[in-house]
Amino acid sequence: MPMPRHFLDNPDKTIGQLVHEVASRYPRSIALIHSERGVKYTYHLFLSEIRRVARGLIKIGI
Amino acid sequence: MAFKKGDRVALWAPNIPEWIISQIALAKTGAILVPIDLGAGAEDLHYILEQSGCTSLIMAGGLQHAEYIKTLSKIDYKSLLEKVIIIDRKSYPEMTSWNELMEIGDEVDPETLAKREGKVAPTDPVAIMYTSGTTGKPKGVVLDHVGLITKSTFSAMRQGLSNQDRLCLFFPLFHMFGNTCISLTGLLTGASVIMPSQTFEPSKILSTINREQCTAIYGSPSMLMALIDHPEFKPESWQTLHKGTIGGAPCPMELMRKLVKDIGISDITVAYGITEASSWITMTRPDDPLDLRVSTIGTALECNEVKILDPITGEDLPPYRQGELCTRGFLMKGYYHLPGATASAIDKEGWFHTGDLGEMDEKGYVKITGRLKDVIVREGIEIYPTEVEDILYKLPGVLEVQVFGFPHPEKGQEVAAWIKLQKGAGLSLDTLGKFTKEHVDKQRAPQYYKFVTEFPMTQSGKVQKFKLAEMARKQYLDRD
Repeated sequence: MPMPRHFLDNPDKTIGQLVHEVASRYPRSIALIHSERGVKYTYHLFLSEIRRVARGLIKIGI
Repeated sequence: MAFKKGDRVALWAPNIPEWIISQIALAKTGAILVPIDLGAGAEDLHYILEQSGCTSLIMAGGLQHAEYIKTLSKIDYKSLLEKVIIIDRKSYPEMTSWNELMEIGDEVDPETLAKREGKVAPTDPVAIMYTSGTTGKPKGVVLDHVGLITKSTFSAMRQGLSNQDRLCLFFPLFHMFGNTCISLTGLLTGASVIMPSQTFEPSKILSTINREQCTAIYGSPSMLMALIDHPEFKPESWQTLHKGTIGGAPCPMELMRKLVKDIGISDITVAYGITEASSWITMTRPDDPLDLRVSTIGTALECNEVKILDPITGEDLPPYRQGELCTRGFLMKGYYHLPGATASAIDKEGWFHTGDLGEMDEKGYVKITGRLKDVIVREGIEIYPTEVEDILYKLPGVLEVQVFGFPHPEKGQEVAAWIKLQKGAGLSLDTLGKFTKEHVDKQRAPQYYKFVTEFPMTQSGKVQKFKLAEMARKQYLDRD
């Protein structure tokens, strides 16, 4: 069975929690590449950027 | 003031990493993402910001010359929005830059974020995506975590994706195909999402597929055609591609044969979905024969049901009978602030009525055959406009035909055919009358004909048949 099977066991999760789980499982895998920008995010870096932005959003109290 | 759970935040940017980072960050805080169409004008932007009640906007300055900033400045955004976050090298007064946002994020205790996340439930709304309607204003489709997660998971399984895959993402992220069917699906699988460029640029996409060794490709038939017809396209650079999905329009046999047989994207699927159903509803299987991947949209994903309903009697139809395609399972929570529209789209048993006409074979493979709202019922007889239009197109001098129904007090609906002629065409109403008498059977023949110079259109160039119906009713019935 391909990977997604894992998530079927956790139907009670949010998108945030699932991305966190994936990033903890494959921290060194590539999550995102943008060729034009010339940037590359491992899952570890991707999650850490998401968390900074999420905290920034909380801080500015939109 | 705190950034509260359930706040609506608009996101307006081309395909850049910040789009996906914002999407997931907003989901973590419990805010609701409202994607804005890249081509939105000031009027569309204002309508969506106001209707969704967005308190803030995350945006790029523009593709080249700060076009989005210019559009934003045309509306009174300060009365709508409390905050604007700008992703740009330049800074703008009264806007928070992306870098500042991250820096001040460092001042916030991780525990605060964890607490906030703890309050978010899988059944909470996570996005409101606006559908472009051919009949009136766009409607906001409210989607929850569990719907997007489940559809992404089941479509990943159907495609045979794994964490080893590298998904090429060039479909616009503001569209559900981009942000859910490619990006979220890839990320929840632990795969890599490869973005060649900010917008659809065939040359950059081709070099990225080659350099990054993408394994899956996604797009509409016309996008894929633009790539393989490009002078820089080399089939040998696509050797790593084996998977993916074609959606948005029927895939011509010629294109499918090239992709699967000549280029070797052996496992590519065809899928059908709508925003209201949290993305894909049906998909073909990676090993389906080519003709099934061309003539059908596959079978229902295992997480949802599909049935074909008689639009008049409301009864379920047996195989090979045309009716309205309905689906149940992981649907939207509703249209935002439109309870009436929601109630008329989802029936009491939880079926969403798509408005698409289709038929199913005994193995569950579905074909799409047209749009329901265009079907005319006159004195109990169903008339399919495209069938009559196809006959009228055979007349020399005809440039465009619209066959449509409008309400009639005794017959239910009456039929009109309005025709645009080619320049200098000498077609008369008499000739037209004779031709239709010979070629269109009486039960389906239009009652009224008219030559016109233009049709009412949407901004995206689709004819608004409901406007034609209003015009015809006034013209033909108010006089009777």
